[in-house]
Amino acid sequence: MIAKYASSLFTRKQFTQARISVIQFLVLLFLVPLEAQTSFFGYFESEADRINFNNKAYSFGYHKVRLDFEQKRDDGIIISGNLNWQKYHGQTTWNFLDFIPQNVWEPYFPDGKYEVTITDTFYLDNLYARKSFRFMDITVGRQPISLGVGYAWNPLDMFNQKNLLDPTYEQPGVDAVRFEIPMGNRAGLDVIMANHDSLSGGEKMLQFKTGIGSFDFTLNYANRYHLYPYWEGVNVTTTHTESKFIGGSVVGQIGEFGIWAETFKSLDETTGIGEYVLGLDHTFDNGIYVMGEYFHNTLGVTKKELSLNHYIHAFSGESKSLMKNYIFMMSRYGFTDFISGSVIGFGNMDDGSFSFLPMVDWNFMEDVTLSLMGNQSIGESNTEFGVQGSAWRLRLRAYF
Amino acid sequence: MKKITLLFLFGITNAQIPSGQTVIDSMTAIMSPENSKGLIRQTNVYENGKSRTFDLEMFSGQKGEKSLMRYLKPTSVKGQTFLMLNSGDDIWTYFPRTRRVRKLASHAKKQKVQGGDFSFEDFSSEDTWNEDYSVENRGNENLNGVSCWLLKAVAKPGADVDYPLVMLWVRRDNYYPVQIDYQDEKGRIEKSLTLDDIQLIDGIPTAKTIVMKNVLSATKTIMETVEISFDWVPPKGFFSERNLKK
Repeated sequence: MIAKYASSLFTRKQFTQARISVIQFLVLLFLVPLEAQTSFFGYFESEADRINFNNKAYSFGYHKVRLDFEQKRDDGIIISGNLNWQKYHGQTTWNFLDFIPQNVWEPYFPDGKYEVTITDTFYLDNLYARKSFRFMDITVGRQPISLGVGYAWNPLDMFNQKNLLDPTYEQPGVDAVRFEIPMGNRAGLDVIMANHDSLSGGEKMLQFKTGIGSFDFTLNYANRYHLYPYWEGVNVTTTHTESKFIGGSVVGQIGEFGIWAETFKSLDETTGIGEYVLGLDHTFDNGIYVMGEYFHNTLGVTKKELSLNHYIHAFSGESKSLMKNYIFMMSRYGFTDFISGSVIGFGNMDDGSFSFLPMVDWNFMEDVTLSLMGNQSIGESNTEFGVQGSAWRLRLRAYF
Repeated sequence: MKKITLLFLFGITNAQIPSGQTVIDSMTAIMSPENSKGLIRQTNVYENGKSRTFDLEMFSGQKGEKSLMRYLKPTSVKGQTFLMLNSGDDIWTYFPRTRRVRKLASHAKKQKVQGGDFSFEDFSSEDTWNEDYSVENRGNENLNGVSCWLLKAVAKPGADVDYPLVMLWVRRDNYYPVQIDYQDEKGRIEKSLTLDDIQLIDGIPTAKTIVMKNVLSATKTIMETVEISFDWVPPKGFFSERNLKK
């Protein structure tokens, strides 16, 4: 919860461009022929959070409506999009420094304040058209892109950053053109050209995918821009670098265990960026599902090297973690057909801080789910997760 | 159909009581049409009497070795799709909101499909009766007025199966199963599968209603066939990850 709000303060996915596109979306709706097969659906979500840290308690949350639309035209083109309204309640002005150990920010902010206000949003998250040809699928527009095989971390997904508290939550759309070229039943080439950020120019990803036996493999090549933010006095500015990357992933099974691995590494030796994920899962005969994932980030720093700039690199999404070595574990069990429970634990192995999250999902009506999650951080107050205290989250989601 | 008829004749003319293996082979043949495409209504009935209904499209190819299930209703699972290849050993799942495809390891076959009493394993076509079980034909038994062969299938030592003992009632006239009881290590019937309202569709006997009852948890899942066609031929590349996203 805390990390989610903290990262949103510095996210590089700005909504300015999306707000303009709302007009395009509405125009498009009027252009949709009445006889076309168009469907509208979506969900309402309401969340209430309570956190305790630094001897303070805060209540906050949001109400959100997502309205999806999909039109299947007679010529085979599918047009999809969604609008999101998100209204925040409770605490909306935050001291960004509360999320960071005091010894890290003290040299820059002697008064201990850097306040940021989260405002209500109304934005177009996706608007894209998709056409399938015999030898290729083309998707153009602001679209969901999700790459990689990892659960909590996806080094190959240079377009998104996951939230460890909620790794499967939908990601914002990416402005891109995507070509998916099948090469047999299990092989294919994926070309993504994204206009990820107006400041940094285009980013490109080439992915070859194939399968051998019970294993799926990908080989990846990418060209991306890094926008490293850093503090200059009390202002944030950025450095701008272009790098070429190679990577790959594998997912399959050994015996009764599912395994996966994923990597993404810069070809530029000076930047030294390399991210690696290794995961394992299993379902026991009694239905209990367990999984674990290890993440290593060469760009991460040690506890001694840690500065405020490293925090904003991680919050901005330019680095997928603050330090080098992390672990994520989850166990899930369906107590009844309506109620399932999960226990998530993740931690920073370099500074010895961890978060422990029990969670219950209650599917109490058709298309309505109520989730209750707790969060207890473990570690010293000058560590990444230790600073975050404890929290509760109640979330209701109703689909329509 | 020719193969099935020949097997039937073989069974009757060479012995008054065909062997368990002969009946199982005939049953397997009749239950494995080359291809199929259907619209299924899945109703989960819970122990408190409440129920939930899901509509899904189901496609099957190469005698069930390949299958694809796409949920249409309710909204919370609309578009969620499962691709199973190699008789369910390889499973991919697609989440439309994130447009993400995830490969599941084969242990996921044990998981319930949308909280019902069927697992992914039940949807795969892995016909390993003769490999995993010693099947004995215990003779004729009438079940609900239908003349059936009663088969007792006992798991072979070391076989990787969930149930050590399975009892099957298979119609004598067309080798179509009408009830299958799955017993646990304690000899209790844990699950009972009944196949009802059997109709001839495209020349193939088809149960329009299949019920999996979990006797221990007092729940059941009903699979009703709303539409089905066995004349459907899958287009090239239909059972592929590409088609998951469509």
